[in-house]
Amino acid sequence: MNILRDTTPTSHTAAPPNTSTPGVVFSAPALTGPEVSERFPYGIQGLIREQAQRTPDRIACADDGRTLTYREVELASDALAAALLESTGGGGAAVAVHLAKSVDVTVALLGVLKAGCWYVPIALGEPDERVTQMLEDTEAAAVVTACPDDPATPFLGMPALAVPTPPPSTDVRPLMPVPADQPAYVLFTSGSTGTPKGVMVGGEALCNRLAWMRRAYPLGEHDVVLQKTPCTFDVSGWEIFLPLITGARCQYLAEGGQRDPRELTAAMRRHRVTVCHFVPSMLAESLADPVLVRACSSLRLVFCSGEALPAGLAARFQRAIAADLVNLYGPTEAAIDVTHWPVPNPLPSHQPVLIGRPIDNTDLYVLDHQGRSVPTGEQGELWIGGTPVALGYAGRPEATAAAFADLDGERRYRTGDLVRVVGGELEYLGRIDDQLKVRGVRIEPAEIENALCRHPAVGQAVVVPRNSANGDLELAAVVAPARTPSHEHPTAPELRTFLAHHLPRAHLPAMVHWIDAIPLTRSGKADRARLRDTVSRRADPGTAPCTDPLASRPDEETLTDRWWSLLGPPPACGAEIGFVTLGGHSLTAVRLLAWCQTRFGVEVPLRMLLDDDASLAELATFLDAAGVTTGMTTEATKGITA
Amino acid sequence: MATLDRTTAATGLDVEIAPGKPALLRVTETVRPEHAADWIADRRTELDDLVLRHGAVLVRGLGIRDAATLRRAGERLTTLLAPEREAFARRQQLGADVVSSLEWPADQPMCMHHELSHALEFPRLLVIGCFTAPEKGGVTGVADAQRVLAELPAPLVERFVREGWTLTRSYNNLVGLSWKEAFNAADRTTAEEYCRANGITAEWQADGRLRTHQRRSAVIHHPITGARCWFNQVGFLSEWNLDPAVRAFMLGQFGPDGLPFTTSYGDGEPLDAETVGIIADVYESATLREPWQVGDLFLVDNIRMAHSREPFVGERTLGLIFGDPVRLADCTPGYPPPTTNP
Repeated sequence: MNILRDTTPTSHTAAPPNTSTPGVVFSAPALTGPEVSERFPYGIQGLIREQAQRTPDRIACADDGRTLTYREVELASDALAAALLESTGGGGAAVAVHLAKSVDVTVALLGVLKAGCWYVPIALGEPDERVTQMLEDTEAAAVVTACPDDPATPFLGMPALAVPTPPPSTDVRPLMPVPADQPAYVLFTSGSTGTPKGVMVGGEALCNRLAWMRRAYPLGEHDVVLQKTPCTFDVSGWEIFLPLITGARCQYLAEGGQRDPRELTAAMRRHRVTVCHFVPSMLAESLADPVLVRACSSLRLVFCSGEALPAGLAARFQRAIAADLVNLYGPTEAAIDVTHWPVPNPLPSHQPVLIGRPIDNTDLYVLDHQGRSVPTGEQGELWIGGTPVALGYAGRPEATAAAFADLDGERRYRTGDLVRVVGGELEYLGRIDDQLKVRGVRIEPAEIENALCRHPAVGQAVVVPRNSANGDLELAAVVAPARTPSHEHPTAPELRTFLAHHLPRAHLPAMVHWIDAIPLTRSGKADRARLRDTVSRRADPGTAPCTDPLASRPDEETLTDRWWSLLGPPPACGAEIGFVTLGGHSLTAVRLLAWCQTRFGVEVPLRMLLDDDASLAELATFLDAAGVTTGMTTEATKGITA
Repeated sequence: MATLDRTTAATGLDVEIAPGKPALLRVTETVRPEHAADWIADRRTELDDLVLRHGAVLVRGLGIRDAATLRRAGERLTTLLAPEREAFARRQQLGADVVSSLEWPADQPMCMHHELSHALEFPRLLVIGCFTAPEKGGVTGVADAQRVLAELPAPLVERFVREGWTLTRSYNNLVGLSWKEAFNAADRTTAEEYCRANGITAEWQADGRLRTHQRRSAVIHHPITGARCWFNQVGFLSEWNLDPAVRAFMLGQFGPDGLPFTTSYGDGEPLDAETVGIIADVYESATLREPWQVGDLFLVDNIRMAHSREPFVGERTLGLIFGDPVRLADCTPGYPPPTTNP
């Protein structure tokens, strides 16, 4: 099957040698990881089989309701592989996996690999249009789903398979050898041209990453790894597979639980988790919760990746939790992570947090804009070479050619990340483009901008980051109306609803700001720096040319979300109906207003909701007034919630 | 893998004991709901024994699905206790002597606690029926208070044994029950009389709010087995169990002494988040859980076992009977109960 449409049908290596970056000359890598010559003839499934034969009756993975032993995982995935071989006509195809987080995911991913296929995880709730695009790009031949008899719309017409329950104990089936350039998975990530790109990662790259981690950070049979990350993100790869090649247990957190401190607390306590991953912004949130911190007493090893790890946060972690902290770095285009830095404990006060040194069989290059190596200590763009590099973007030869270079028969990936080498280790300095990370999710503003411009009332759109009231990064969309003045401005909630048909939830801007025209820099590009200022919290958002008093408020849509998530689905004209009339009671009021206080730094009297039966619109008006007159700042909010 | 409890097998009731789960008694013969009470009456002694041995027994297969059937079953097992006093959240009356579980947001867990362990009289037996099972979650977890006592750090236990624990409530008219509801009192005098009779210090605030303190024993002896049990709401009603944002907001609204409830050491010294966390950890490691099925009947020794409620999705209706009233004074409390003149 030809996934990279410009390659020969039997090969999955990347696009033709890059000719669009003239002058790129690779001199010696700036840093080189350990050379390890381990081979993986049977892929990750081979490593798991070895472990399963050692510990067949040990629990391999568990979720809230079920546990599977190593033998059960093997038998169930064997059964799924057999079914997939049949429905894909002998394997060698992409298979979509559309499942809630559970032990089924382990069985599904492993079954897909055993069938000589590669998996394409698709998040539940992903917009149909996006799913259809993913299936097209990857030429997925089948889907593994919880409801094969009634699959979601985009999967109609495809062979649909359920995850089998472990069959009664029989012998495991022999594994098929895995070709060296066979993909293992395709993960979609935000694309700067406006559509997501499916990163196709080879089995060898995945095995190299997992084998490295097993050696560098050994796990044992007493370890419990919390499976927190949605499997549409590459971190889930080690959360799911590392325990399975070390005899440890993979404990699934319920869908969405990674965002809920109470779910996390319960999971930590109940399962005595020893190893887990945090995106730094989530780690910061977790450390603010003393009950959760207390529940983390069983942790011994914590990995961070997905965003820059601030030194202050690392130090706070070390004071609060008696576990080792490791900072990892790697783009989706290079098998999960390519560098690691065990954070020294205690972190010296002047010491910046680094991303560290390369993992096995990894070459890192730090180049200037002409593709020349920069002197040690100077900043440049990071290029990655060696085993970890992905095969390319599924079905997108141009994007592949733009981001990957083939030189001397070796594929290298251009990260867009600025770094420098400090004492043999890498320090991350930022991005060379507009790419953002919002709570660990990689976002190309252009993708959202393109989606916004599909709305008939929108002429131009620019998406910039800003600090939310609690200090996190959030997205703000600045939109200028289309030239034909026939359309009224859609409200912020309307635009968000429109976007939700095209984009995943993490891509939806928290704020929409209307402007007459997008300001330009002298070179004629959108002046993003100025727009960042426009939407920053210091600015008065009341100047937006918007007739709807609610939509002009930057945080209205999130307040609305919160209100209805606590009070149930909105009736007609719901924003005008009082809190108590809607069935709200005192505990609901406390939770809503505690959230308002954290979010906006404004304390709203309980009486307003409980005695005066204020509506959503009245609450918004009150917050508006308080925000303007008290001038509550982010700092003030922090002071209250600290 | 569940194993059969051979000792009870001899009495004719086969109980399944599986790690992490409460004892489960499957009723294998067909019993029509209208005959459930008779079935229970015929086996009352065996059921009593099972509850005493295991602390809690889930009886599955009697198909008790409404308050009237539950009440008929309950009265064959136990003496019914008068309606709840000193509640901290509302219940609905589902029928005579049968109340709903506490009204509490479905997505918020309710931590381990014993019914009325802050009162001078409390039920020994809880008879709980599942009329509607939630789609997801909503397990009533149980934890053995003897085991919890054994696993808590010794210095912590010693101090609580010596001093008892103190519950401080502040009644406002916005959050939580009003004092009129809590004390079933129409006026201040009646409320004050209740407090006097029940060892509760009541202080009226200038703004009309009522603040109360009650000091109770944290460890008591089981009235039948004599075993020592960790029996209190120190963890459950602690302010450190609140979501940090909610706690901060409530302190802002009601002032530093104005939280609707919180707990402290007997002498009034505040607890810290860590101590409350330790208690929660120990409870968690001792928790037994089995998801509800419609028609389940759960018999829980309220002194031997703490219980919790996990978050749930969907509809969940439980009927609850408080049975077998016991006075604190009859449980050789570690910290002596207040002398009262009822």
